[in-house]
Amino acid sequence: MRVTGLIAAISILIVLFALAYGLVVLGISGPPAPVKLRLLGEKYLYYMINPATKYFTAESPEGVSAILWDYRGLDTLYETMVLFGAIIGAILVYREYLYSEPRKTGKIYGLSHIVRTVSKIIIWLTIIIAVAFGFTGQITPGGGFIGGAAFAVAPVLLVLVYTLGYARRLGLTHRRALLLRASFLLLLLLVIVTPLIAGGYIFQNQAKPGSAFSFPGRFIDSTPLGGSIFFLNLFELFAVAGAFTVAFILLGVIASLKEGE
Amino acid sequence: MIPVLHLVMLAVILGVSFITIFLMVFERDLLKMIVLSAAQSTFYAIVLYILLVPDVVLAYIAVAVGIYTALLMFAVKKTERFEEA
Repeated sequence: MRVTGLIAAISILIVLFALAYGLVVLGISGPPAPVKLRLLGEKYLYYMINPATKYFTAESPEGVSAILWDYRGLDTLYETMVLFGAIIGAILVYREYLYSEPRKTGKIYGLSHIVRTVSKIIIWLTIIIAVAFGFTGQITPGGGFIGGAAFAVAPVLLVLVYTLGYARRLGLTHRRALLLRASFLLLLLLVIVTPLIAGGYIFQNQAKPGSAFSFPGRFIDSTPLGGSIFFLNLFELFAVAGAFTVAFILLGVIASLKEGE
Repeated sequence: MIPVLHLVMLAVILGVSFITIFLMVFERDLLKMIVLSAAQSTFYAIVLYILLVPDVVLAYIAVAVGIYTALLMFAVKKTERFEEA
């Protein structure tokens, strides 16, 4: 086993090296990634925070957020809807598990005292970093989905380390997570249709020809706010966090039922 | 162009991540395998950071190190911890 393993490792390494050498040095699949910016990239960088071109600016120095929530906003909305549908489908399939009576145990069984103490710190750190991702998504890398995914690590740790019963006792139930998700999705929709109500276009961020409506582009101290990007990132954060929390509570419920308690 | 130092760092980190992948494939203890998988994801996150894609790094860490690891742990909890020979 040890000799065959070694032979396998060496042969995989040789294949990987040959592939990398052929691709990068010999260029068998055409030139590697371009060193210069492409024309589209240049345009995005030029327009995303440029007060001189007021019909094209997104007021966000973070290019990825500007593209996701302003230039290609509808794509991101559909992406959110896909996640929404997936969670609804999962709940629909496993609904009898979710509405089963939670078992009442007096004592909390979890992992060891060391793991619990370390997790106590990590859970809070995770939540702080996740919320920071959402709040600063328009100026630094991060944003709503990433923040929400990071936020969801906290309830997962709670369920894994302290058991589901303890999480329930703290008030972390699937109903509350679903309520969080639904309410923040509604707020997200409100941000999307607000320009429409004000006489503009749907998903409008800054002023466009024919509609002077624009979300606040700057904070009080002239920090870029990204207009609607800030609000969309923030609401997406809690919607995604709620979605993942529901999914993991579901998994935790099913796993605990397997133990036959 | 990518500086030579970055290329050397990429080579070293990818080499170490290859070792973790190799150990992962031959690991019988599934819980250890999950830990190795998380370690490999961490190395890939560093690689992505050197390649200047901070947005992808943040999403990758949250999903590959956090959520994916927890998902696999739930899966192992529902089956057995040790793989039969």
